[in-house]
Amino acid sequence: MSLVVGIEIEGDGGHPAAWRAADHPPDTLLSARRIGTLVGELEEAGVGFLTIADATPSGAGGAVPARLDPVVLASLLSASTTAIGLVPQVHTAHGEPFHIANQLSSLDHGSRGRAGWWVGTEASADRARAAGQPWPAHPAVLAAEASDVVDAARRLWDSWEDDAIIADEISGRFLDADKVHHIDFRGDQFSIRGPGLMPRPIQGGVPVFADAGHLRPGLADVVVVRGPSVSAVAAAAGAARAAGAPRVVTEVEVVLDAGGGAANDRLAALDANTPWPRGERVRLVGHPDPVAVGLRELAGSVDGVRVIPAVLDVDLPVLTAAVLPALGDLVRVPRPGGRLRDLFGLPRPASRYAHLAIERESVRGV
Amino acid sequence: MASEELARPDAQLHLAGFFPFGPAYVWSEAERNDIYYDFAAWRQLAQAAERGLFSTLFLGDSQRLREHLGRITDTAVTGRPDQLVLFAHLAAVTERLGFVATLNTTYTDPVDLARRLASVDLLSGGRVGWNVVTTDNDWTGENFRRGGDVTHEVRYRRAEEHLALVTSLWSAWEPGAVATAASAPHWIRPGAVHEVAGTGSLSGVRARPSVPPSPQVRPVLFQAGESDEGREFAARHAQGIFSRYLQFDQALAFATDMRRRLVRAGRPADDLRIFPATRIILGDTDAEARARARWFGDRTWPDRRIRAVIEAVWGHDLSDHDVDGPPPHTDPVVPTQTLTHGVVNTNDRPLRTAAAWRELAEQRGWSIRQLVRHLNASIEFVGSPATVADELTRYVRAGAIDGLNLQPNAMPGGFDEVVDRLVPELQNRGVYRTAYEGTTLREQLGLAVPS
Repeated sequence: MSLVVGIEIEGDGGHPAAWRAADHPPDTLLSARRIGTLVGELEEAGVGFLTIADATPSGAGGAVPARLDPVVLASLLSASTTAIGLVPQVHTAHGEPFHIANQLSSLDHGSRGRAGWWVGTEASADRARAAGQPWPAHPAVLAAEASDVVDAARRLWDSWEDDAIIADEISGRFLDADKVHHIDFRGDQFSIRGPGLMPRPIQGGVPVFADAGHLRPGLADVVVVRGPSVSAVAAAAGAARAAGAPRVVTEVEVVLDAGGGAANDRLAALDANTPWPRGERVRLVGHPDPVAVGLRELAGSVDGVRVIPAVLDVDLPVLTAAVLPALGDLVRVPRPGGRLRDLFGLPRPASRYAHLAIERESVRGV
Repeated sequence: MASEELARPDAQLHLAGFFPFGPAYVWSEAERNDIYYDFAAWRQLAQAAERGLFSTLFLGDSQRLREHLGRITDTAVTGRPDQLVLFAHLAAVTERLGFVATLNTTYTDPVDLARRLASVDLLSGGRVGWNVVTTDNDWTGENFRRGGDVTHEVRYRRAEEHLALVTSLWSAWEPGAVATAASAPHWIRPGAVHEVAGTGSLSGVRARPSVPPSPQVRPVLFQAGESDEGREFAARHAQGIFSRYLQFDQALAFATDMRRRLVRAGRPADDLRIFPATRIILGDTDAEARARARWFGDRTWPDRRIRAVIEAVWGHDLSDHDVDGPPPHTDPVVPTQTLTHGVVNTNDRPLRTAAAWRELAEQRGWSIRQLVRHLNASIEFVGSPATVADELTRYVRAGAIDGLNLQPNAMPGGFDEVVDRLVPELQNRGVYRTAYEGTTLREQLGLAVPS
């Protein structure tokens, strides 16, 4: 049994009032130095991957409206880290799948195989208007589109076979053009001719993290399940595995005894400012030891967790200094130069186009 | 000429590291076949450029791999990392170097593009520029939901609307509105982030941007077209322009024309930096440099690449044709250029192009090889560091150019010689900075912050 630990790093934490308890002034929220230091500490502590959420800022009063493009931020962080997985959230609705595929492939090259894709499902009215649509499309249309976007991206990642580059000066050929393929993808909302703009990602395919049931079977590498309790998560994880999920993770909200305050008191104070409604995630509140016990129980049913700390600056130091050490060998720690797929024990897939080359060889043989 | 020499006695040369989409390198000199896609190699190039006090890196773009006779072009390095993903990575390992991305308005969502550029601009401390291009090409559109069957005119109107929307998104945060302490009543002053609406074909777009302004307020705009339309667009919007005019008189004429257009558009004549593209090949002596330039040209123009240029126009395989013989006597087999993209642009008139090339080759008695090398000859600066520095000083002081868009001759060491040998010569002549002027791209280029 083992557990991959991920941390969500967007903003100041999961709690909507987190900025009030942060260690830095609000106007340094998006500073490269602040975020780089934070992520360096996560890597040092053996955290397996980070996620970067991407919610469209609402116009509502009080909400922090500042955030960066998650893939751009992940790429900045790839330069100063060597082990931690980098998993930006990228939504499928309205995006250009060709750009998404190339950006994630580039992130995988830049991080030497540490990129992941947290498939975003947001379909809000704000998001639709930003794309020039009066309202979101029908949920069935969005669902089909999400699968098509991921499917097309996977084909684009396969479109250069692993040995497509030959750089043969004698014949004057940089590429073996037989090993770089048009994908000719046709979906209801878009079509793509291909090929992609980069050689195959280091990981073969960037691991895709997606909510259970959100994508057509076979498109997700890591399925995200949720439940309000450990037993509910275990049931959801079992169902996901039965449906063929290669790996399963869940999300956990964490509030710790930290900064001289008891977790419950800290949460109450933050909630008095802006409430943090309970969703369908497990929420662990308290001393590091019971929180570690909670995570250990989850490890019985899932391969990894995406921890959403209430306040990054306050909860993370305790998480890394007390909770992770209490879990000991249970935590799968990424090694420098390793790949995100390795961390989850996922194999590097073969390109779906590789067999074409083998067929060509046999034709020539005849 | 003497009066030209005095035109800009204090002018300084800017160097930009330039990467076209299909660059020519001597592959066998590279450490690995895939080094052109390796971020560590890019990092080495960027850090060399910064050591040499370059103003910026600049990437050309294509959103589709080039094709030749219906297959992926195999005669040059093709494809490259997403520019903004690459620049975000490089921003983390440099401090002053700028980054100019070529991004088209036809196949991008303006709200997404504005956010991605603003994100790199903010994270880099204000070091980003946007080279605004409009792809006039349905062939590229086959990779996108947007723009598949857009007419030429609609594309240009959309480009103006796209740019207007992006710049309003970049201006939608009131400055100084974010709290400086957690005890403040609000994270940001209420109402300080404005909702922006698109116009024309983008009139359905409503968005509230999420990235605050960078230290240079917003990315610097560049333009790369040379048509009348392109020059006017640059005169209205751009603070940098990439050109191909490097023959001295042509460069000066282009610069003079652009400065006139700026004034007509109500801007100061010197509010635009002009960067023609070139290569620099150095040697201990002029003769050695010339020998190296010949070597580089021969090695990067193998027979297959020479033949591809002719095949692109004639429209069919000519592999049985000797490249040291004359061009084909037959006419192209296709009336329009449909199978080849990105090798040669005949404006869909291959018959005319073929006839003109054949006539030129006959007149001069050229083989295919000589013809193709002539057609692709570009102005390069070849010589000892002192010779090249003298020549560049003349260009800059006359006001013919502000900078050079400099292609590296190798990956990843392609800037090292320029940095180590040419830059000191330029500094000795007083035409090159000895330290960065500021922290932002706008400051390095000596440009005013836009209102």
